[in-house]
Amino acid sequence: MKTVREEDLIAYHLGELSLWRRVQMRRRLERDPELAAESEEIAATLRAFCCDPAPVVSEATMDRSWQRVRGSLGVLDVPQKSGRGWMWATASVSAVAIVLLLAVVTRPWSPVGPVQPVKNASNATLSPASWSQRLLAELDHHKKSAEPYNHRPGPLTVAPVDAVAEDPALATHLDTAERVLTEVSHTEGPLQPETREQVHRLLLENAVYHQSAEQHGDMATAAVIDDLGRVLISLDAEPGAAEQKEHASNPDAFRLQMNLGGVLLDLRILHHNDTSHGVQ
Amino acid sequence: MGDVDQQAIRQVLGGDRDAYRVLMERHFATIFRVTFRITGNEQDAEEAAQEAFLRAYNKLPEFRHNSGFGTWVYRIAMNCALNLVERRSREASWNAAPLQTEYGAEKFASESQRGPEQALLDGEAVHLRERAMRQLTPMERTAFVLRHMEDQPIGDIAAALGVPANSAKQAVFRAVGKLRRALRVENGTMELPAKEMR
Repeated sequence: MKTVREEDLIAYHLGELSLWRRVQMRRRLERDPELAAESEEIAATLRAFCCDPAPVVSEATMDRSWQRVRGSLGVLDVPQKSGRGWMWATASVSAVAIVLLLAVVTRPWSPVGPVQPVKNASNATLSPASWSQRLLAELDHHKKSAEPYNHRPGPLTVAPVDAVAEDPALATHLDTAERVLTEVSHTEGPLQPETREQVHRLLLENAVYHQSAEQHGDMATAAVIDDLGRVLISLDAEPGAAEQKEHASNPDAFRLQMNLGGVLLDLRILHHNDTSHGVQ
Repeated sequence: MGDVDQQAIRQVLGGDRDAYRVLMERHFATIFRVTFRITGNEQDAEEAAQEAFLRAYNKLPEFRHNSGFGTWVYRIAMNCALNLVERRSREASWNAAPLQTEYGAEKFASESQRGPEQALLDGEAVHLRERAMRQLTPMERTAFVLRHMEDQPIGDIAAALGVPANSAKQAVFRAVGKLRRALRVENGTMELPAKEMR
């Protein structure tokens, strides 16, 4: 029978299980007094933090807040909608359709069927499948490189994550890094000034946490922080908006994207390990 | 109700900045409640709420009316409050935000005319909870507060905090696990008085 983990019980109490799993869990709890006791402890924890009262907003607070916000309200730049906009949009779509049609018609005919993209050609001719293969290969490479350094099986491990569990500041650092990197990976174009500032701050702090993880003897976490540092250095040194166009076609940008994806994956695994570590 | 918001938004977009007060007055209490629960103190809650309304104002031309203004500004507020807690946690002078400060303890004492012994026990329970909450990272604290106290769906929390849904869910699970262990260590047993259900 499948073991019930702490997070399953938490999910049960927070209503995050499907109906079928909820019914199964209820049956298990009825049969297993030890599990029922653990479940009750979680329920008691949740009850202890349920619905803490918030202070009532007074008229004075409201007034003060309004005055502060009012002082910063600028004149909004509302985009004007007009009939001409539709005309331009229609004209643009028609132009694109004509260009595509011409491209299809004037394409050289080949007796052996459509031309397949060449695997080792430049990035521009790679098919999506080849891109994902390259990405997976890069992630594999990334994982393998951590092993000789750790003498442990990288972040994908069931061993306790000592450094993260013992250092709340490190856990916060990893949380923030995950959030910032997720934001970066979901955003196109140059980094926003606030994001750039966050990246720079994370980079400055990263070395300290790397040392801290090494001191705890948690080499898996240290290796992830090391990789995180490399990605942060690349992001911190990323060119500004003016050079962004050139940068987009640069193979370095592609490599950075892959490294960023690898580090994000490692960070999430560390979080998962941290959660599993807490299971009784 | 939504018509009032829409009318105010139209006026603001038409150049009447004072019409924004209508939107603030209608939604400030809700926004303040969530920022208070995330930041844990009134000053920061006020600051985060103000920032949320300011951001919402600047983005108002992009507001698409897919959801109500209240829901929209609420999502912005979740993010502002988390950013503020992260900022505070980096400041050496900031001594981790208490969940409800002395407000909670006073409320217990005055509300139900309990005896001094009971008031003391209640006050101690508040401090136990504060200490337990301090062990959470800003992300865990925010995700936990939003899911458990504010009853927000994981998808909305993830979208507001800019993380995948699974990360948000794991943050909530980690938070509950840490709180459970912290209370067990602090208290020996789980005897904290439960709050009244909403």
